[in-house]
Amino acid sequence: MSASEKKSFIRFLIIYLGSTYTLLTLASWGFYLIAKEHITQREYQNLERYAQQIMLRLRTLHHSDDAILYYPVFKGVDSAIYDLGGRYIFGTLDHNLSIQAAQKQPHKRILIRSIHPYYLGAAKLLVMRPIDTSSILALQREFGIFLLLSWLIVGILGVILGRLFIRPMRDAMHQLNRFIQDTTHELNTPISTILTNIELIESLDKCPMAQTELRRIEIASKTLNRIYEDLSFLNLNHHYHRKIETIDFSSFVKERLLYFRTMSEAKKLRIISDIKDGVKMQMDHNDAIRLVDNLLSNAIKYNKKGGMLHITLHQDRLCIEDEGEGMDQEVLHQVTKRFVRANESEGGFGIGLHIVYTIVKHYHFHLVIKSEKQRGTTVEVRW
Amino acid sequence: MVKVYVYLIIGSVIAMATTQDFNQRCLACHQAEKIPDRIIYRRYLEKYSTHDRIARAMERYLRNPSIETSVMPRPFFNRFPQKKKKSYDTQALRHDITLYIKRFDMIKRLRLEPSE
Repeated sequence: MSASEKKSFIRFLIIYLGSTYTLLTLASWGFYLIAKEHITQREYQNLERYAQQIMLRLRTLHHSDDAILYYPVFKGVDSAIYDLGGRYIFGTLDHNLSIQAAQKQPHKRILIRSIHPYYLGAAKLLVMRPIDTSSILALQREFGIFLLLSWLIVGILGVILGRLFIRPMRDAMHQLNRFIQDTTHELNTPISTILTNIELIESLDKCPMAQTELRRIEIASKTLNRIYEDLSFLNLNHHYHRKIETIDFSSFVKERLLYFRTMSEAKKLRIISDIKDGVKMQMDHNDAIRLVDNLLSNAIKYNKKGGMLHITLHQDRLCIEDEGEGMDQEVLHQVTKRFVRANESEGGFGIGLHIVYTIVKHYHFHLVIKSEKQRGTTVEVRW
Repeated sequence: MVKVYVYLIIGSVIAMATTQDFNQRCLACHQAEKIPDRIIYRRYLEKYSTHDRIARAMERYLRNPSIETSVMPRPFFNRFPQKKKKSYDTQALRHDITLYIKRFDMIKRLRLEPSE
């Protein structure tokens, strides 16, 4: 899966799973509250049954002439009767506990019923029982398992749907990649032929009158060659075998400057180079070419005619500065993205700085781009 | 210690004397006329709930005895005579009412049902 496919897939999953999980959780939470309310109601119904039994017994006791009147006691249930003034009469609770204090008992289900007539003088009956936490815990466990299972099923469904969702895009990307692959392959042979023959003609010096035309052909061929290399780099999706070696970066930068000499001369650029000798780099040769060529090519292409091109190479950085049109600040932070072009005045695919950024990221370098409209752009790679 | 015994004996004598007064003033006549005090107290209890309210209601009836001020239903007076209106010493009357309530109080008979 390519980076863009991954991105689309993850976005789809976030939207789909996020909305589904939210709905599922809200619905489950609603059901949980209803079920919990049912448990509470059931507990109150039980208390009501006890209250009815106690009230019946109070009536019997009230009319009894027995020497001892037995107040009903139920296992796990506390109860007490209070007179009209709220004073404790009798019960299983502490006799100092007023009806108001009893109502504030934590973790208890409490039911208070009015009694009339006041059998045994009781105006209120309080029935109390500990909250049935085991039922609530069992309910929570059931809902937890249900939520986990439903999340799992929705998650699996999301992955399957996501794959189906990105399949058309994936097919289109494959088609595009195949097209680029075919195009680059077809470009390679004629470009190589042109470049080889130009070099041959220059070395033989057989055609001094056609030097300008030859230079033009050379520039065009080198541009084509760079496009071919960049497209190949993209086509391989940056995943190719890299041969890390020690490169004399000072000589390398000088050599690439020479390579672009024809282009810079055509634009009458003033080249100021501050290249320190002995700068060595551990990197793949092709990556080094892609990095430096794209930076130099951009600085030449977007420079103004007769402008200045400043190349600095120190032990810790490579800095290329031009006097071109510059970029808007809002474009600047997007310029390293694929197919983003800051300037439409010149040709190109919008892949140069993306390749630079990819290489910089691969080697854990730092890329700093500064630009000012009508003043120029400075690109600095630090390592 | 001797003082404590003396006070206890004096207290008991006074208590017995007041109870005897109460018996003579109230219950002697009730027993003679077979007035069902337990039933009467139950009626007060189920209507007034607290001892204070019962005491006030009893005092109200004793000061002005009539079928209307009585807690008992009208047919009760077909079987038992209506009390005659008398003048009472307030303090003695209230004291006797308190003793009456104490005597017939049902709460002291209450016990928790033994667990099975």
